Order: sequence, then structure tokens, then C-alpha cells
Amino acid sequence: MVYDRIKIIKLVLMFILLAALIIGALLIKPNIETNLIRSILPQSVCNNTDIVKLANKSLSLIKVVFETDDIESLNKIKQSFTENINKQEFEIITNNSESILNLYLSAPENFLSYNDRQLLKNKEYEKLYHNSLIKLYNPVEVQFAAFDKDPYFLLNSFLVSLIPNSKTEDLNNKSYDFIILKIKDNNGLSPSQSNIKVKQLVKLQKTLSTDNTKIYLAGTPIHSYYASVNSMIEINIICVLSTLLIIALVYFYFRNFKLLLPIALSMIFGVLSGFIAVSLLFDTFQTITMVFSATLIGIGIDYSFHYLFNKERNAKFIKNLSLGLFTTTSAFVFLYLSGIELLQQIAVFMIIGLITIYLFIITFYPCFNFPVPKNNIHINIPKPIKPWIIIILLICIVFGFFKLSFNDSLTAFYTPGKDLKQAEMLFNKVSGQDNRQMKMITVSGNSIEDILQKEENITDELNKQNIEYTALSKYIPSLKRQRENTNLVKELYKINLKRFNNILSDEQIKNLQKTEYSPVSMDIDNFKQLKNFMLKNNTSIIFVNAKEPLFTENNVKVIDLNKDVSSYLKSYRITLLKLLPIAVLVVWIILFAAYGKRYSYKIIVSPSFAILSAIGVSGLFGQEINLFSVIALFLILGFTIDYSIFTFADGRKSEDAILCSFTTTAFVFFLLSFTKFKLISSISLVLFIGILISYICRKVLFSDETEQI
Amino acid sequence: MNKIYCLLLIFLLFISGSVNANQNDAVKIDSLIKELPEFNSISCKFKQEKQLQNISKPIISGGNFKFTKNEGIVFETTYPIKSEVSYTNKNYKQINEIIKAISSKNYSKIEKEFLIYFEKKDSNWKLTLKPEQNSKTQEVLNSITIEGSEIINKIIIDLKNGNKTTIWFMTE
Repeated sequence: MVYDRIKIIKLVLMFILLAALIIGALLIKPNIETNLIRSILPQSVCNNTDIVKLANKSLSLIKVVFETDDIESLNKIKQSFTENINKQEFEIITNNSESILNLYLSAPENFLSYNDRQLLKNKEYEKLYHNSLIKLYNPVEVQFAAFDKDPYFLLNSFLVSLIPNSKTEDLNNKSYDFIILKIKDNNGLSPSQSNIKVKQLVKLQKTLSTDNTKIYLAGTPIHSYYASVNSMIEINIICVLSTLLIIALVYFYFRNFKLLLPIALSMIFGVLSGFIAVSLLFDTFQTITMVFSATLIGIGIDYSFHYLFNKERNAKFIKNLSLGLFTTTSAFVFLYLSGIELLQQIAVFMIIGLITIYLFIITFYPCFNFPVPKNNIHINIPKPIKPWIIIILLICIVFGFFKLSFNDSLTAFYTPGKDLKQAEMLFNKVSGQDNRQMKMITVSGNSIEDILQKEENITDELNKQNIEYTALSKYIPSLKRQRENTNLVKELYKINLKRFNNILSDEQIKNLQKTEYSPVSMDIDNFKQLKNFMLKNNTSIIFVNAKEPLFTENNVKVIDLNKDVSSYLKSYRITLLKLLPIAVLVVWIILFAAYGKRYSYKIIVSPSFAILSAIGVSGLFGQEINLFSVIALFLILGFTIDYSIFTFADGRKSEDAILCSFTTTAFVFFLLSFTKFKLISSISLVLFIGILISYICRKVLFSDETEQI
Repeated sequence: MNKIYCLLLIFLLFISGSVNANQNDAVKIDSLIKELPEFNSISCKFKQEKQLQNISKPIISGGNFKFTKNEGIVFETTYPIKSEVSYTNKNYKQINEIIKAISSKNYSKIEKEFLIYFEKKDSNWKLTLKPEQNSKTQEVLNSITIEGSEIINKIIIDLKNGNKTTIWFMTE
């Protein structure tokens, strides 16, 4: 009776706690951090540099390319598309080239290409004159300003200098046009909210596209949308399959589906408590933490299996389960010690989640009447094969380490699909913009004029080095520069203009020499495509197309987004790699304290071998190691240490529990290694290899009949 | 650059040959294709007269014109200055791709950009190309007129800014 009463009290308490956790999780509402770069970079870097802002710029821009067989259809589809866009959610950044051209035409002497400016400064007037004659007599040269306003074709040269030196490609006889859309208010949006907006565009794209009329979408939001859609489909399939596997295993062993309820409850407790802990301890909750938190389910379910398969559930079992928890959480403590917030969140989530699952099992599982297992499976590896397995693994480790390569680039985590890649390349061709080798220089100033002048100091240096760039000052020279240009041109007219007296009348020559053009200032708000150069109100961006590092005069900070973020990823990877052997050592010390020297060595051997083998096999098959692969190595230690502990603790009695734990975990990561999202597939492959090798090594190195604590 | 392509297209159409149509109705290039001649390499003299907006005197120049199949076209100006403008495989690749397309009788690009009018009187013919409404070419170009008999004799490029270029071709 007393026992029954305690049971009821415990069950009631369980539901109260569950309700409290659910309510707590709903009430907390943490700030979800979706920006991958903010997740990776230290807070001080996020706050003080422009890296995150630069990364954010691309997050809200969508490129749309229209392709048709003829111009009439092109105009129609562009009009249909722009009319059907939700203007509340998208801003169209149009190319207002006609307005800018009119502005240039209003004062043609103010705008000079770099080359013409140098010729004028060096007073190479005859060269300018000769160049202008070549253009004048060229049958197909079209002059933008009238000849009597610009006899030296200076405005022509200036406008040509604005065109990027893109490799001209054959656009396969179709007609093309493009627009750029900006998602309004994108900074605070979660990925799901952003994806809802993008989904509308994708739907519109499909509605308007036909066999002869196509719309291509490109840009970071489109990549995110398709990555998450594809991932959701894949992950849903994997969840269903792994759930079915668990159900199948439970039924095979216990012929009872009721067991699934307490197992599911333990998982829910673990995930909710991990979520609440991270939300309370950190300012933001990073979405990558959620991705990794799914692995909690993999470890947590192992504890349930060990409990279900252990008939005695005595003090020895509790000790082994506790030790399993202690060693696993110790491995995750090192992630916390790395100092990287993302890894700290993962560590907190896993530690709190695992402790909760452990406490749940110890406290509430005794309330349930679990059936005894009806079946058992014993997998034996034949003795003659065992040495060969070890030899093969050793060879993999040795050769793999020689072939090991690292890739800390952000782009290693994501490979776009064929259609998206095609859309991006098409946009580059049609628009003449190619951001693939772009570096960025940010320029801050007190006013637009100040910014433009500072930009011109930098771009003059870029021009000297023949480095291709685009910048605001290329389109809108500073007022100071315009005055200089006008003075240079006036000097040219004063000395050289009479050379045209066979074409221009005396009056026209006098007019040119007399006319004073005031500097033209442009309101950037009227030219949305120029706003693209503004990072914030007092900072502009110069986009530089250069492979090699640039000069660093005048404390100019060059940002290579990919390289800068990659350097942080590299430093974190190195830190974690240094912590990994320490983590293994600490786990061994704990095992030594619990089980003594002999068994502590035996228990730690399989997970250690698994870690080395995972690295070796990755190297052998050309799988590059990155930060997240190293995190996976910590997870291998956490996942597989329990296999060894229970092997030596319970011998054959734990074999089925270990088999179920291994099967469910390895199955999930095997499936995840095929996902299109490279970040998840690379981690999952390393985990799968490690878990598989640990399971096999345990069987190979030690006999479960004779070796037991 | 697009403007220059379109102006160049016309040089490649009719070096020799004759076709039939009515000036008033725009015609499809398909109906003219069979009557268009093979496009072969040619060298000849050219004389150019440019009438510029606000300039009373025409700008006169001349020199040698050369088209080489699979290579491109070259304008070698010999007076009043010496200069050379070439649209070949090495220079202006995109323009040259169009040249190649035309020389292999792939006229679909022209048909997308222009309305085509044709007139013939005795052995003399006149072909006029006017940009399609809403095309990019329409912003700069009024029309291109080509006149010829056995060969092209004259091309007139009439631009929206008031400039007009007339080029005469003369065989040696």
C-alpha cells in the first residue's frame, strides 16, 4: 500500500513537473539567434566590427532574373511579377540608370574616368585630343553628351569606366532583365518567418514561369529557404524512420508498445529542461544549438534501454548508469570551457538534458511495470577476423592522418543545388556583378562628402594597382573631386580646344571655355541601387575584386568576409582539438577512480580508438575536418563511453541494451549523413563512423564473457 | 555596348543579293532568308559622313573596310586620321559572337530587336530596321537604313540624339 501510494505521488509529481516545464518553455520566449555568423563570432567582435552588418546585408537581398524569347514577353513578365509582389514585405531596388545619366549629362565636365583624370593632371592634352578623334571617326561610337558640350568624349570614357570588366558571355540568344528585392524588416525575423515571405515569391515564380518564360530566384534568403525546406523534408523522413525503428525494437524485445510512453516522456523532460536552461543562462538561443540538441535524444534513449534491459536495477546498475552520465557530461564540460558561446550553449543543453533524463529514469521509471525482454540477440565476431579488423583500422588511422585536410571556410558547410547555382551564375552574367572574389573596405565619415573623399583616397590607390572595384564615389564623385575635375577640364579647353576649330564654331569654343558647371550632389535616397553601398548612415562599403591581400595604408580595414569568419572557425577548431585529449584524459581519471587501473584502461580504449578512427577514415576518404567535425568527436566520446562501461559492468546481460542503443543512434546518423545540408551531413558521417567503430572495437578487443568488473 | 551590337548587325546582313517586300509592312526575316545571299569575306573602301547635333559641318572620314568570315570586321580609317577599330575574336568577343551568328544565317537576334521594312525598285533595294517599342535599342536609335543593288552601297544610322551617320561602300 505504502509502495503504491509512493508510486501515485511520484506519477502525479511527474505530470506536475511536465506541466511546469511546458509552461516554463512557453513563457520564456528566448531571442532566437538565426545569424550563423553571430553564432560563431565572439560577442565583442559582433558589437565592434562591421562583419556582422556586412553579412546581414546579403541576408535580405533577393535577385530575380527574367528570361524570355522576346522583349515584349520580357516586359510583360517583369510587370506581372512586380505588380504581384507584396509591397508590404518586399522593396524593389530598381536600376534608375536614366535619372543618373540625366544627372551626368547636366554637368559632363564634372565626371572623369581615372585614366582621363591622370592624363589631364599630367597635361597630356594631345593624347586626349587623339583619343577623342578616334572616337569621333569611329563608325559605331555613340556619344552620350552632344559634341559641342563634350568634344573630348570625356563623359563617354567616364560611363564606360563604370561598367565592370565582366567576362562577356553569350547569353544564348534569349532576352534577359533583372531586379533586386529587399525583404523589409529582415533583421529581427526568425528563419521560419523569413521563409514564409520567400515562399510567396517562390509560388509567384512557379505561377508566372512557362516553357518560354522563366523566372530565376537567387540570393541568400532563397538558399536558406530551399536548404530548410529540403532539410525539413529529409529530417521529417529521418525522424519517422528512426521512430519506427525504436518502435520495432521495443516490440521485438518486449512485445509491448506501452513502453514508448515513459521513453517519450523522458525525452520530453530532457529536451525541455535543456531548452529552459540555455534560455535562462544566455541572452540569445542559437538555432544551431537546437540542431545539436537532437543528439540528446540519441544519448538519452540509451539510458532508457539500459534500464529496460537490466532486470536487477540494483545499486550496481545505478552506479554504472551514474558513471555513464558523469563521464558523458564531463566530455561536454570541455565544450563549455572552450569559451565559444555556441559550444557553451550546446554543452549546457546536453548536460542539463542528460541529468534530467537520468533523474527522470531513476525517480519515475520504478513507478512503471516494465515487462521482461522476450528476446535477445548476441552478435559475435569470429576470432580469426578480430586481428584483421584492428589492423585495417590501424592502417586507416595511420594513412588517414597523413592525408588529413582541414577546411574552415564557411562555404564548406553549404553547397547550393544545381538550379540555385545556375540562377546565381545567370544573375552574375546578366547584371555584370560577380561577388565571388569580393573583399570589402568599410569607410566611415561624418557626412556623405567626408565618406566620398575618404573613399577617393582609397580608390585612387586601387586604380594605381589596377584593382577592380565598385564604390559609391565611382558613381558620385565628391564635390571636391568634381570641382577638381571641372578645373582640369577648363585648363584643357583653355589650351587645347582650338584644335577642334575645324568642327566647332568660335562661339561654341568660347562657350565651352566659359561655362562653369557647379558640383552636382546626389541624394542617395533617390537612387536605391546606390544605397547598396551604405552599410549604415555614416559608413559605406567599397567592393573590391581581388584575390591577393591589399594595401593597408591609412589604417584601411579590408574585410574578406569568408576569410575573416573562417579564421575564427579555425581558431575554435584548434582550441577544441587541444581540449579533446584532455577530455579523454579526464574521463579516464573518473573511470580510474571508479573502477581501478585495469578496467579504466579497457573502458577508455574503444571510444579513444573510435575517435582516432573517425579522424583517420575522414582523412582517407578526403572528408575535410572542420570545427563541427571536432564537436562530433566530443559527441563520439559522450555517446560511446556508455557502451564500454556497461560491457564491463554487466557483460552479456547488457548486450541487447547496447545493441539497441547502438542501432538507434547509428541508424539516425547514417541517414543524416546523406542530407543535402552539408553541415549536418559532415557531422553525422563522422559520428556514424565513430559510433560504429566503437561498437565493433568493444567486441573485438574484449570478450564480454570473460571480461567483467 | 548593346547599342554598338545593334549598329553592327546591319553590316552583316546584305553584302550582296536582292529580296522582295513592301516598304509599308514590317516583314518577318524568315520570308527573306531564302533570298539572302551567302555571306562571304569582303574587302572594300568606305567613306563616312557624320552629321552631329549642333555642328554645322559634317565630319568626313574614310578608309578600308574588311570582313573576314569566322574572324570579324575591321574599319581601318586612313583619313583624316589613322586608326583601326576591329570587332574580332580577340576584341569585343560578344559582338563577334553576333557577327558569327549572322554570317551563319542565324538572324533571330535581329528579329527580336527590330521591325524590318523592305522596298525594291528595279535592281535597287532599301531595307529599314526600326527598333521594337520598349527595346533597349529604341532609347538611342531611330532607324538604320541600308541601300544596295548587287552589293550594299550605303548605310544610314539615325540616332535619337540628332546625330546621323552615313557610310558609303565602294569596291575598288
